[in-house]
Amino acid sequence: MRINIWNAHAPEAELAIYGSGPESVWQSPWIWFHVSRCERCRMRAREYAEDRKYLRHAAELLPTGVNWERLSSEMTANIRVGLAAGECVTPHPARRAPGFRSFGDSWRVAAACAGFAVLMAAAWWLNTPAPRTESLSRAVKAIASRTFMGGDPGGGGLGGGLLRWDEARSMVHASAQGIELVENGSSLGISATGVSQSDARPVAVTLSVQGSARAHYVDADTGQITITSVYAQ
Amino acid sequence: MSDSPGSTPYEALVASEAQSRFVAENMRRVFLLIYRMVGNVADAQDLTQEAFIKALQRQDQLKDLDKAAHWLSRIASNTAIDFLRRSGRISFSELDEMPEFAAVSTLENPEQSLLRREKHERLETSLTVLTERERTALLLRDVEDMPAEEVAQQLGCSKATVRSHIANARVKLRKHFEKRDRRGDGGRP
Repeated sequence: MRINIWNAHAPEAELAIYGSGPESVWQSPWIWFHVSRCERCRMRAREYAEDRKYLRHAAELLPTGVNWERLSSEMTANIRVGLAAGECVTPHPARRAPGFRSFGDSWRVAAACAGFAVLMAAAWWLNTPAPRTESLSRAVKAIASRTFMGGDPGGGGLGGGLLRWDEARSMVHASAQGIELVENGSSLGISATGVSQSDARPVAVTLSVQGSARAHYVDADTGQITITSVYAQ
Repeated sequence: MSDSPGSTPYEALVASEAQSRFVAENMRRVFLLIYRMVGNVADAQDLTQEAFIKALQRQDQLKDLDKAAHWLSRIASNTAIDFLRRSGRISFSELDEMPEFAAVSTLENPEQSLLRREKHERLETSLTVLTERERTALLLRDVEDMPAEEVAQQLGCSKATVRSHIANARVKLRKHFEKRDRRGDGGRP
């Protein structure tokens, strides 16, 4: 607070703080300057300083009528009891049973186990092959809707040769041994088992938009017909 | 200052003696600080015990033995402030309500006892004109010599607020003393 150092007296609150600490010089330089020149404010500041001395002295007096010896003995005994009780309820690390591990120790073990589990799960997931039924279904649907490149698109029958399904870089190969879907290095085939491979020839391969493929094979010697159906789910 | 489970009986004895000495040297000062703050002997007794138990249980936090008294004062004032916050008010009970401690020291003659009683009553009456925060700030700053920053930390307010509390408290006390002087029943000793 800035005051008129020549005419007005210093505010009471400023005089009460005046001289009570080294910081008051820097906080109220105008008060210091004023008090050095004003007799009335200097007297007032001296009264506040005497009040502080009185308070410090009077605060050391015990309350009237207190028997300090008795009171201090009782408090000392109660403090000992309190400390002993605290020792009983507070587990000390040195008093743990051998082999006892608190939560604070076991969290490291739990964290290591969790990390190992995550590592194993990631390895398993990376090594699991993609579901082939999905690829087969897409390939079959693409062939059925004639979006393939190469081969003979007419009639839905595959008389042999290679078809490339450009959308997913997949190939469907039809031969006397069956049909085979190759995608990303993996293959899924329908082989004509139970018929003589040299004499058998596919009569027809039927693809449906629902994701199924059917192949008919006729054995040249016996005339036996083998039908193989695959449904993609 | 305390006996650790792994220490020898001799070390435990030394630690126990150090604890007793620490309590004996500081008990009166801590009791009076708390009593001036809460204004009640029974509460001051409980809070003094609580403060010492807290301090001795946390003695491993004390790095510098030279600052033990100051450290204990902080714990004591914190304990009293927590109590005042919990209770929400201060009650000044009459010592006559506590007959077990209402025994005058045998070391004083009747005149000394009367003077002491008057002086003490004047201080107690003076402190009642202050608010709880003003009284706490004034006692910590002027009696315990705590820096204003530390008082602010203990009261949970700014340094400027502490300065305002202390200034208000001193002005109120001065006016109270002047009023008593005008009535002729004595202000300061």
